[in-house]
Amino acid sequence: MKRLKLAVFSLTSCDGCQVVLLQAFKQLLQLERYIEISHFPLLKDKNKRGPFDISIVEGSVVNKRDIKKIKQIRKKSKILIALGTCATHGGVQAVKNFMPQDKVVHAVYPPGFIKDATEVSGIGRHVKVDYEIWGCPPVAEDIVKLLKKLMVGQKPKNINEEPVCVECRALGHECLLEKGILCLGPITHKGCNAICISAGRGCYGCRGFLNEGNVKQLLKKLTEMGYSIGQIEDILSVYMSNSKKVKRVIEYGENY
Amino acid sequence: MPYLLRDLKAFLKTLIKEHIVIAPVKEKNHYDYKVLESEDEFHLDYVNTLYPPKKFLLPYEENLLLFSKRDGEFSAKPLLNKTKRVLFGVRPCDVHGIAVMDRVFLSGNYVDSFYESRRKNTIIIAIECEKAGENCYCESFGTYKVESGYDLLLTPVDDGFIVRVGSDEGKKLINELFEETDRDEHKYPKSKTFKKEKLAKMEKYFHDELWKTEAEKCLSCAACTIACPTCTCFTIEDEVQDPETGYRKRRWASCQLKDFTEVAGGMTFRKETYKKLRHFAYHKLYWSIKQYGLRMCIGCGRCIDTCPVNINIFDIVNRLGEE
Ligand code: SF4
Ligand code: SF4
Ligand code: SF4
Ligand code: SF4
Ligand code: SF4
Repeated sequence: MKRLKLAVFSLTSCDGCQVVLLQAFKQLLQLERYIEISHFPLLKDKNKRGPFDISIVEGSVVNKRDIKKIKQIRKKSKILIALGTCATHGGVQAVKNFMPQDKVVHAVYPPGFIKDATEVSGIGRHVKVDYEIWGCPPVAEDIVKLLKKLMVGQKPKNINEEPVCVECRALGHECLLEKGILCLGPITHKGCNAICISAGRGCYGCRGFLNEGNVKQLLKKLTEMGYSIGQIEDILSVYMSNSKKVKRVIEYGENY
Repeated sequence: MPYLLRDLKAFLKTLIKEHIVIAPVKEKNHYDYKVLESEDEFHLDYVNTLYPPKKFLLPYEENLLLFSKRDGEFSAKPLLNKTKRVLFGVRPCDVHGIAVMDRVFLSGNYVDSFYESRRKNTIIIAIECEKAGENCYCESFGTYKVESGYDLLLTPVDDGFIVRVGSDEGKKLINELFEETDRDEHKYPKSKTFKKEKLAKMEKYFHDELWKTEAEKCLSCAACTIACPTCTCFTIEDEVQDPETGYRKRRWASCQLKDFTEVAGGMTFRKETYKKLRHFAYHKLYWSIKQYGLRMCIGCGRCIDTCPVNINIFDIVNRLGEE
């Protein structure tokens, strides 16, 4: 069996997803016979230039440099994986899309410092993405599982297109909505083992929204619980400000 | 001949010494089945647990087979769980629930050896209820009463518990703490009822508009099927470990979720929420009679307790055909 050449790249991000990859490193090493880590600058000094069988990209696109880079990566990769919420949806920093571009570039840095800023987006807006691994941060197990499947030539379908509630209930938790705590679990992809709910905080939707999630009724439930549309919008846009659903909530509020 | 057990704690203590004992334990606001470390963790003040004991017989996720292909030789090894356990404090409705699971997995043409192995190694000690909960519908189904399906059945009385033996395994647990008695008391609490006579006519209500209007609220969160002691649907996935070996896994599935009726090519049979909600109600209350010769719903009310938007299938049945 030919060893697959794996590459890891980073665009604009906190590097947390790469840290998760390092967490999975022991398991990755066990696959050493089948997978060769040929490019991973956070991990090693000598990195190959490609082409690669599988490229994992973390981080969002925030400027023209990122666009150029992601296009180059796509060209030299057979399979492209978007790792984490920045790469899949734009991430926390996509919240700046709500501000006019000319204002936002001056918000932190001195005038003239940022020259080529663009709208913040996931990499899928610029190139074709083969697989998405959701989460901020993502789950190490998801990465290993996907690589193992690709290694034997499977073309997996995402198995987490179910709400966080499934794992939350299977763990035996009492629903936070019953206790008056805001939770986006019913409209968010599972796979994190309901980690936030286990810690007593509601889900903020970091793994992205389900296509068929009933946003309208969840809004109704949350407003009945006493949350204002503004409070709900704030939580909805922490991770998912690029989502059409969030934009709709902001536009229509209770009349979603 | 029944027995009188005066000291439940002492009995639990002997049980815990020799067995893994799983019983309702108080969480912040609810009870959940947990492995008991000490008899002091058990308090008989629960109505029932928020989630059923189902997960101990059919875990949320489990490895079924370890398969491998080495030097052209294919092999698959079943991974059977044979841990001996005691489910303690099971409520009568849940004894019926386990009987439904037995019907699904152990009878008919196919016996599920993975379920069977867990089930055979599980002792059930049931305790009758003194009071019913807010959403208990056992009276509608007669499930407050059990005649089989337990190893021991305890009835709380003023001076302890009347204990009935339901199996040889149960008999073995009788020790010096038990004294023979001819008392025949039972505890059958009053609970909720609904217009059960409508169940016979469910066919007629299939296209009732109420399914649509009720389903508008539904979040499709699947809490109802997860909390239902008789929802046994699962999905199978093969997970590779390396190019030579892998695990065949199963995980709970739910008819409330999108991919439940998805087939190759992406066609989905029950896309609309109302069809999913309606399916749940019909499977639990009506179709299961044709399918299994019994009604899957045991009236425990957990689907109501857990539904974040207060959907109540009995309340829906009450209102069918009335608008
Ligand atoms: S706490 Fe959140 S994730 Fe858990 S069941 Fe409730 S809504 Fe779903
Ligand atoms: S519970 Fe929600 S916010 Fe927390 S990790 Fe899971 S998907 Fe992300
Ligand atoms: S349908 Fe509801 S009441 Fe009936 S057994 Fe299931 S959870 Fe209990
Ligand atoms: S109600 Fe749904 S999940 Fe439950 S057993 Fe029936 S089909 Fe399965
Ligand atoms: S628990 Fe309630 S909201 Fe969730 S799927 Fe069931 S009926 Fe719908």
